[in-house]
Parts: sequence; C-alpha cells; structure tokens
Amino acid sequence: MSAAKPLPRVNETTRPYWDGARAGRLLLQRCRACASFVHYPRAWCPRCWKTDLEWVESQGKGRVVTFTIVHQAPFESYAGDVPYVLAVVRLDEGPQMMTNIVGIEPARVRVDLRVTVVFEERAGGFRVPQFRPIAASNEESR
Amino acid sequence: MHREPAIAAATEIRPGRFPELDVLDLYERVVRAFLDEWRIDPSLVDGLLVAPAGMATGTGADLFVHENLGDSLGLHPIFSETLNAGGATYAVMAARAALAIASGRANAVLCAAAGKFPKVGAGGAEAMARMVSHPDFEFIYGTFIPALYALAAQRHMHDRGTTREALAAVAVSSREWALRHPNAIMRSKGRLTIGDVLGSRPIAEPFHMLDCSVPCEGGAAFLVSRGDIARSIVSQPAYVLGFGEYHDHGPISQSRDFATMSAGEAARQAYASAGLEPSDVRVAEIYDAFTINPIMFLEETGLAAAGAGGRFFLDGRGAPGGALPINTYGGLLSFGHTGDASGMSMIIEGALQTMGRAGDRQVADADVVLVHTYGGMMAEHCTLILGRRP
Repeated sequence: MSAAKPLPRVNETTRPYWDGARAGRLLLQRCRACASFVHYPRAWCPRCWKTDLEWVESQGKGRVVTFTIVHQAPFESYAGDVPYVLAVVRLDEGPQMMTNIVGIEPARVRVDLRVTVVFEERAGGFRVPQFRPIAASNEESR
Repeated sequence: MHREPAIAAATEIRPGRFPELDVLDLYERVVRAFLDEWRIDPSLVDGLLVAPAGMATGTGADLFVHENLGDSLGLHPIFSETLNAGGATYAVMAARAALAIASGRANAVLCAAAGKFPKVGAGGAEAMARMVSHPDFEFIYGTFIPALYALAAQRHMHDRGTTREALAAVAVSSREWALRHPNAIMRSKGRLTIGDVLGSRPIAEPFHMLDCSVPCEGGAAFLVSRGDIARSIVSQPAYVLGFGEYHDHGPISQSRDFATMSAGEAARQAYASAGLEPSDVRVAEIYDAFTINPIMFLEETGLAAAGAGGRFFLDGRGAPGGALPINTYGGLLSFGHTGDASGMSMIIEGALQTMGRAGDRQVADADVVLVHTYGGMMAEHCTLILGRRP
C-alpha cells in the first residue's frame, strides 16, 4: 500500500474518543443533565445545550441504517480496498455514525443488519471504529 | 405576495469547460451575457446577492464577491451579500430577495453565480470529500460524493421499493429533455436507454456512471423585482408565489431519515405561503446531482405519493409529453452540473418556463412551476413556487 489512509485531526474535545479507540473502546458522550448520548463529540449537548458531558463506553452494537458498496476508489489510499462498504450505523444507545462494514461479503450487507464494533489500525497508532456482523459466519474475509 | 415580487429577467450561459477563466472571470462573462440579453435601468437595482467564488474547488472561497461585483456594476446597494447555502444558495437568494421586496426593503435584486468544477485528479477528489463530509468522523471512512448520495438511494430503495431501473429512468427522461435544449452538454450524445445506464461503469451502488450528473462550468443571473418593475422589463414575469426553506443535518451521517432527507418541510412552507397545493403544479424543476434526487424530492414535494416516484419516471410521466414535466432543461444529469453555480440552472429554467420563453421545450400550460433545490449532502432545502399570475 503506497498512500496511507486518512487520519482524524484530534482536538481537546475529540481526544478522549480517539484515546478510547486506541484502547479498543468505542466511547460516546453522555449529557449529565438530560442523559442524551452524543456522537460525534462536541462541547455541548445538542438537545438541552448544557455543556456538562461525560464519556461513557458504548456497548458497541447497532444496526445498519444504510450503506453503499463502493466500486471506484475515491482516492489512492482506498485503491486496494474496493469494493468496500461505506455505511451509517445507529448504535443501540441512539447516536448514528459513519463507518465501514467489514468481515462480510459486501453483497450480503443489508439495511438493519446487526453489527458490532471492531477497530482498523491506521498510521500513528490510530484505531478507527468499524463494524462487522454480530452473527459472524465462516465466510469472513477480513 | 405584497408588491408582487417576480423574476423579471433570467440568463444562463452555455455550460462548458473554461480553463482560461477563473471564477471571477466567469462571473464577468455571466453578467455580461445577462446585460446583453435584458435592458435593465441600473438605477432601479438596489440589491445584489452573489455566491462565494471557488467554493467547490475546496481551495478557500472568495467571500467578497458582492463588494467587487457591486463596484464593477456601479451599484451602491442597500441589500447585498455573498451568500452560501450550497446548491440551495440561489433559491435562498430568490427567497431573500422576495422577502426584502415584499417588506419594502428593496425594489430590485440582482442574483448571480459562476461555478467552476474542481478537477478530480491531483488530490481534488480528496479535498472535495473532506469538504462534503465531516473531516474527522466521516471522511476517514472513504467517503466521496457519489457514495454519500448512494446512502440515501439505498435507504429509499429499502423503505419505498424504488428499483434500480427507476433510477435509470430518471436519467433517460432528463436526456430526452436535454435533446430539446440547445445548450445542454449531453445533447450531442443522443438518446439514452435504461440499458445504457445499467451498463455503465458502477461507481457506488446503486449508482453507475450515468446516474451521476455531468461536471462542467458555467453560471447564470436573474433579477427579482417588484411586480410593476418586472412588467416594465418583460411582458410575462415569473412571480414568486411562495417559498420555504429548511436546514436539517450537517454531516450526512446525522440525517434522521435517509429516504426523505426531510426535504418536505421546505415544500410544505412553500405551498402554504403560495396558498397552493401539489395538484396546482404544472412543471417541476428538481435539483438532481444523482438520479435518486428527482424521485425522492418528487415524493417530498407531494407531486408523487411516497413510493410512487420511481414508477412515475418508469411510466415517462416526467418526460416530454408526460403529465408533469420534470427537469425540462435536461437536469444537472444531462444539461450539466456547473459546480458552485449548479443550483441556478433549475431556477433559470423554472423562470423561463413560467415566462413562456423556453423555446422548443416550452410546456404549454406552465402556470405554476415548482423549483426544489438543496445544498450540502441534501442537508438544506429551499423550494420556490413560481407562477404567471401574482
């Protein structure tokens, strides 16, 4: 692989999330005032606008809201990955996140597929949350 | 509406590639074409709305276009800004202009746009993907524009039974219209069949190459004015009867409904402010970066029932001779997608249809025309309703 896949920028608000991922934990923010779960990380609760958020570990399980099988790599670092699955997963705690579905033949991915978090290694020790089917079969290709 | 705001003049240049022109050069070409076509007394124009130059290139945008173009035109407006709502920018301009006119704060507002399309090579695709998705929580998963739209298409197919063939039928319908527009980019390519679309190169499922709009460059300008001023410029203005806007998610992963993109809210406001219903609409111009969009937004604007949008196109009802002509200029799919200026094309066509100036593609009874635009990744929506009577 020549080009490395992109890395997130890390700031004060998002550092705990990426540190958690390095440790193999998917973290969410939870509002101490209204108990809402929040993802992507931010400095306030989008529901009640209180700024007192705590970090909690997600169960890491959810469902595929929608997905696409990408056939044409958008840029060089994905050239070796096509076809890959880009998806939105809704976590059981509520928040939705962009992700990839791995560990399954792309053509078998469906809306509402139950998935659980796994982590992809990136440069610099970064680990990026992805998802695989919960009922993993023997056909796992990754 | 009070003081009868209307589109009094509308011009779009022939889209193409203009490597020798930067965005401000292209603005000059657009405005010159507009001034050559219409006789407008500059002293009547007291508003100017323009878009940032160079948005879609991802290289940083010029946010002072209104100052420089205003000066160049010798205007000293009382209502002016460089405004951006992505592809919805120009419908939002029309809405802002109509509001200013109706409330007595302006009399005639010139709205203009020029758009380049970034080259996808040389890091362009990556810069673009970074811009259209959350750079830290979406882009890192290999996002790019067709894949992000495919997320909506896939959910629409799941929830509403829309078929792969129905998506292709949208491209076929748009091409039929493009054959009737002298400036449409794909006019020279001839007719399209469903098989052509299905047989083109897969990009991000369900989309193939011919489900995607055609990148090009261009621009357009229109004038919104008080009704009496409009009637002094053109015998049949396109009155702005109603409009609505709605801003939903930022990053597309936060959309609450991928099958609708919550676009119906803008349409509901537009109908309510116009005192009209979907059954009053005779022609619709719907922003179409990809083939799913006319299906999705036909349903969201109430012009087809939920789940009936695909069948509508399969039956040819939006094509020439159909019951409800859709994207009569060829759409971004076949007229061309002029980058930052793409949100202009459906407004210009909506205005020309309403004015009765659409040439070979004129729809006979275009009394009420709906224009639906959106910006971002279907994140913000603006619907306009234009008509022949104030």
